[in-house]
Amino acid sequence: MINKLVSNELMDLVQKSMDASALQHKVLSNNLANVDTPGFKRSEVIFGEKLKQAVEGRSRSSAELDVAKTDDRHMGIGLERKSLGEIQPEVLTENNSSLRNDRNNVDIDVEMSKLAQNTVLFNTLAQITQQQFSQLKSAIREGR
Amino acid sequence: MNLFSSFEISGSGLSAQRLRMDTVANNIANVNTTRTAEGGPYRRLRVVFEPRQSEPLFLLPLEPKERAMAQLSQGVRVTGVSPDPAGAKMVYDPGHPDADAKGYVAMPNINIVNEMVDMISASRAYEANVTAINDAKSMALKALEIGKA
Amino acid sequence: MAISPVADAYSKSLTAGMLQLNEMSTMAQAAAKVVPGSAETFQQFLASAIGQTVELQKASEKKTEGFLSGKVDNVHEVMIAEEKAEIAFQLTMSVRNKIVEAYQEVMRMQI
Repeated sequence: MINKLVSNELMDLVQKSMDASALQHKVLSNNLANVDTPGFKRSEVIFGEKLKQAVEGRSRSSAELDVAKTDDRHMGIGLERKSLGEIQPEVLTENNSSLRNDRNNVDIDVEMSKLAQNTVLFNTLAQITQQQFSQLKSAIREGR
Repeated sequence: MNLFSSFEISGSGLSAQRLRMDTVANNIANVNTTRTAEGGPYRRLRVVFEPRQSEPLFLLPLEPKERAMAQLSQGVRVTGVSPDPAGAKMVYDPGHPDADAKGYVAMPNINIVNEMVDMISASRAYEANVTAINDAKSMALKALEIGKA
Repeated sequence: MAISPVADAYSKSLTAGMLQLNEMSTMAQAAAKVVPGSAETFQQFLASAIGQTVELQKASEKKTEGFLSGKVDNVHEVMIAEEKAEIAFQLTMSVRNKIVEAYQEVMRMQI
């Protein structure tokens, strides 16, 4: 009963998003640190997109048809129906683009804007977590 | 291994950019140096960066996704400071003590405009890393506030 | 933008929280129902609540330990585990206080 109280699906998801956001910060910091490294390719964490797909896939009626994937390398057509718990953040490296002559593809402005966005996201998630907990505590204290 | 290692990553970026800045400053300071201990004029120095990789131990048993995570570099590393191979600038100045028989002096292969551009670029990259550190700090402090609920 | 699903999710969480509270109250009602010969239900309920609290405390300790040794690098993981343990503890504590209160009330009853 207490386990149910402190870890419902949403809280687990928020915590997972925070993990992904912290990882994203690390990856973006790494891109920024390597802004002048010849041949360096930027990376990014893919999580929000997957989450969106899972949420959309969940709300869709099961009568719709999906295209089967028989190999890991197949591209998904249509939305995958994954449970929210299964989504894991994934680090993706952009190997096939170059921005400058030294084959580096880090655009400092793009990285900075992504960094700012990610920080706001993380702070929002932390705020949500805090509010959830304070709500529970206030219920336990009988509103006092 | 995220929020705290991102401090280290940005820190490596800071020291790399600072070294680059120092090298540029050294180049600018030596723009007219015509004699060095090795003989000949001062040669322009430049830093070479490479991604700092985490140890490639135990990569094989990992799943492809985990391997991608483990192979992600952990900041930047300075491989070395190497001299620019470009030849010296020959300037006609017969009165110079280091002038050769024809009156030409070998000046360092430094273009001051290039150095200034390099300096601005290093300074901007340094600032970007500082911002990343500040963001990591604000995120960590915000996460601490969860405990104040 | 990633924030809008979060806001959406948060509004859903409010309703989820309400449902949780409802669930808790039905559980309490079920626990209070004294069936002759099966007085252990409430005891079992309390024991399992305490057991879960202890588990959460242990999980929190483990996270703190991992944080100190560098295995866990995220502040939020530690804080969330700690907060969960604290909420569980507070809930168990206030349930216990209520029980003691009820007991004393019964003891003070004039016969």
